[in-house]
Amino acid sequence: MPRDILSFFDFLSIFVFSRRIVYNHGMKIFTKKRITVFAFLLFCFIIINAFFKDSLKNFVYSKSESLMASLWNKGGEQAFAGKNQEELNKQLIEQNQQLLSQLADFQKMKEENEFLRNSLNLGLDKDFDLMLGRVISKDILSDSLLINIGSNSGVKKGFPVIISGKVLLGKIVDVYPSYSRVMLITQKNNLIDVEIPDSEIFALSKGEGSLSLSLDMIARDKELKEGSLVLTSAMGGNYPAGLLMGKVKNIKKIDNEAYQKADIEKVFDLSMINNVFVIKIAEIYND
Amino acid sequence: MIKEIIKTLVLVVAMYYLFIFESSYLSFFTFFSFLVLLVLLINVLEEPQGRLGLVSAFFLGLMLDIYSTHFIGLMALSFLFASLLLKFILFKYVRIPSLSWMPKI
Repeated sequence: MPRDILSFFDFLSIFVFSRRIVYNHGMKIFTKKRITVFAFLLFCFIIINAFFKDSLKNFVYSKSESLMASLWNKGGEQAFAGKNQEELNKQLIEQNQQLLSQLADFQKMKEENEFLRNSLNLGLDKDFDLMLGRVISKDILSDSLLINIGSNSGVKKGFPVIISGKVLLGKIVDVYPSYSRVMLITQKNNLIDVEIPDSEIFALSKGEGSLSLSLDMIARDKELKEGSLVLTSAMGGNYPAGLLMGKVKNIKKIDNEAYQKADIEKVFDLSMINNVFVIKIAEIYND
Repeated sequence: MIKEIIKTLVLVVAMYYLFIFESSYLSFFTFFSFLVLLVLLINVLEEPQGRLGLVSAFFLGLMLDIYSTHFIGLMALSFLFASLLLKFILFKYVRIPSLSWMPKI
């Protein structure tokens, strides 16, 4: 062992813990028995993953579903109540004003849209085929949720998951008979093709983990506005176009970088989500 | 032997309920896993010969595997190995006052 490390531990032991270093080379941590147990467990896990993975997970989820779902609801309620109500009200009033101004434009556009649909005879009355699911829990180490519908209800890997208001939450990454796991859009390195409709900009949304999102690969010559809505684009092939992802904030235009970057202020709050909708899509291109 | 099995079972049940509590209720309030921290503390503070740290690390890993998209066993074995490695380092090179009242398995 190098002398400098030893002296560091000497210091730590004597001055911080006021203890004397005790070396007992007679006792082993990696014993033959422990290594055998480790190898045996590895073998067992290989067998479990090969044959019983889905059924085992489904069984454990079914046993804990009711308790987890009620705890999720209670946690969400308390987290929401704990937020600063005054600040929340102020934000809502500002948002409401912006939305009212947008509403007038949209009503005009809706009339135009209906006229065009009728003219082209497109049967787009119903946007999506949806399945309702309930959130049970969130993964501790990553941004993913467990919901209570699975392959028995027709859920497949790759189906997008939204909440009311066509807000994109993520997509299905694992399906069990009665449960599914949703990877949130904020999951680290999760890339989604997006567009910013008012500036006609196409970019990539990148999950940063810990429920945060960023916007990348925005051409330098494009004029990006704070607060612009970020919607999914059909270019990637994973998600239907037009699902809301968030708003642009913190635009970063660095001189020596080829693209602009920005953050996305997500529009969903996990504490308010109890139910989600899974969109049945006919084809999943890039999964 | 029976005593050890009972203690292990109590630990497993406690870990299970703590995990459920953390992944559902506490997921709104914390940005770190208090169970991972707890297991780390157990491993650091228990006596080097103790197996509580190893067992708790294994079951926490197993729960994380089951409630995530990982293969079952990936985190369980990783945590077990990390716990063994931590014990090895602490045992061989560091001496931290261990808690004598911590239950032994």
